[in-house]
Amino acid sequence: MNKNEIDEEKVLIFIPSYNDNVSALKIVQEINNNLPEADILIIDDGSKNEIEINKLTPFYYYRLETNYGLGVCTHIAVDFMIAHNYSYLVRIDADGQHPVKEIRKIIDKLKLKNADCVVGSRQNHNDKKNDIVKNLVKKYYNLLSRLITQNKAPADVNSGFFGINLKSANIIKYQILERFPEPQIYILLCNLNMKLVEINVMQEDRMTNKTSLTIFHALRMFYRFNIFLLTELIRSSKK
Amino acid sequence: MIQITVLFCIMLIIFILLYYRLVQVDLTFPWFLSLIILGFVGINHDLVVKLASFFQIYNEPLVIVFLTFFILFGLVTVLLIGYTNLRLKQIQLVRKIAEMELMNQIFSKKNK
Repeated sequence: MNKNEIDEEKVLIFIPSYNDNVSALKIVQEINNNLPEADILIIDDGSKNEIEINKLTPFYYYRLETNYGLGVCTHIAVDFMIAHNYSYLVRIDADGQHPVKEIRKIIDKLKLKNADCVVGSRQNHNDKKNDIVKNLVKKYYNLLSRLITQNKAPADVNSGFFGINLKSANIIKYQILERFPEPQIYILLCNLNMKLVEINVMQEDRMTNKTSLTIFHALRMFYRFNIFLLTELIRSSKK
Repeated sequence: MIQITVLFCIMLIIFILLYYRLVQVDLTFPWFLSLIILGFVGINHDLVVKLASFFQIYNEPLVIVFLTFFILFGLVTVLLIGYTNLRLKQIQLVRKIAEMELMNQIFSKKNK
């Protein structure tokens, strides 16, 4: 894909950040080097330190005064995308774990393969053998997601590295997204027969900070995932 | 008449909370209803006996205990629904404010 092709259809890169503003700025720089045509939107989910912006700042920035979670951040980004006629939205994490160079690949798939959603499935996220419980839970998520979507869900339903087109955005806009909404988004899109494409990515090391996911969060996420699956199962059986 | 006194005290507490606007009046309506039900059951011995025989409870005063648990569960559920609605409305507002703020940023970038 060349520059002109991207120019025709506007691309928005969305970076949700929670206490990762330093690495988020590094990612902005990296994106500007790799994809100067794309617009960037940072949503600060109530971090302790805020980013100073001015008219010359090369990105859009919105700060939530308190921590609302990824669901609300995603909603704000999707609203922005729809309101300003962006054709594609790519979400990348602020901690530097998602490779910026793969963004172009995601946009390519969205455009050339006519995909409604492209997910960057992490190939090395189960490498830490000491996280047995974590890996088992992830396998459980992936297995159940595949079962409920008749094998259409991506191999890594927890991946936050994804791209969507306007069609998917219009569906997501009217959902109620929870704190960690990735499995919810992928399963919904699969069950609505949207075209979901996967690309393999290698997860990089975190630039700064620790993960915001505590054991309590993980438990809540597990509970939420099961409730969501159950409701989806009932809904799909009613159709 | 101890049960009526207790219920009256609870009603008084709710009224004080309402007077100082610590709670919203609509949210206390389920409380009000449940206090009336409890008060009615509390002074009506025949009803307690009938309920006990209907639910096959040998110790009749336990009917009131179970009824209180049931009402409390109902109250918590009503409050959860109310809280969820408020949260959704708050998120809608946050999204709207974000949209407006980002719109301003676009205009100021265009006019730089």
